[in-house]
Amino acid sequence: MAKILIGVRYIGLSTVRIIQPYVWNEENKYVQDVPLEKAAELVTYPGQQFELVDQAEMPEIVSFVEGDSRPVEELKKKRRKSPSKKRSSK
Amino acid sequence: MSAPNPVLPFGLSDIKLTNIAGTTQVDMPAARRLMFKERYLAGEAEGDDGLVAVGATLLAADFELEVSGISLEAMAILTGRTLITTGSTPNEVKTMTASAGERLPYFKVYGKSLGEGDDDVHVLLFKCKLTEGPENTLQYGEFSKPTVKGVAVDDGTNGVFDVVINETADDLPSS
Repeated sequence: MAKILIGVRYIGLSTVRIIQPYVWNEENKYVQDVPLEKAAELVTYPGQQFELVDQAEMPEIVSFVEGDSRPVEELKKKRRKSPSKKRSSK
Repeated sequence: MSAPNPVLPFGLSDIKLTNIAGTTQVDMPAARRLMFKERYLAGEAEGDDGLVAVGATLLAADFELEVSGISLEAMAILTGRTLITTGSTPNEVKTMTASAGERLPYFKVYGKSLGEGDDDVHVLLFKCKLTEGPENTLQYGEFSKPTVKGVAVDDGTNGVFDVVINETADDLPSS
């Protein structure tokens, strides 16, 4: 199954925030792409240290689906255009 | 009604530190004291067995802060040092390293005191730099009460400081 990465911004007051293997600092503008499960963990972290990145607000930040070089938004558009497949129950 | 005159500030409600760019603000934990004193360049002219003139101009303001407890986030604003936080709760670790030769940054100091009624007084120092401290003491039977001393200079836009009286108490500026 493809792993979806989500942009998470560090909004705490430290200069550098490290939760291995992820590092938030000035170099990456305190934004890291993390897997969905990790994103859920971070945005519910005590003290509100993290928030999800609004893609419209931060157009330079692009998330990719693992194993596919196209940005997530591009894939979403394609899905919207293609006819929906009916699930078959066996 | 109008803003009280005279205003009677009582105690110290809040101190906030802001980096000079106005992008990061930290609440000083358990603020205990904000002292500021205007510093003048003064000279006297004497003659005919008397003092005939006094000249005085405002140079800057000296200030002192005292709080209860240690906030490394506040220290980062005061000293410009890097604060590194690692790990996840309950094993989060915050580390700040002080190195010889480091240069100190400018920052802003905002203080607030509540009046006897609904009013309050804000003191806004616009461009400050530490000149002494932080002085920390870890002592038997007492909470740590760090103190710092510094100088506030004219920032070229807002002046050295503002004293603001609000008829109805308001929050300190956020930048």
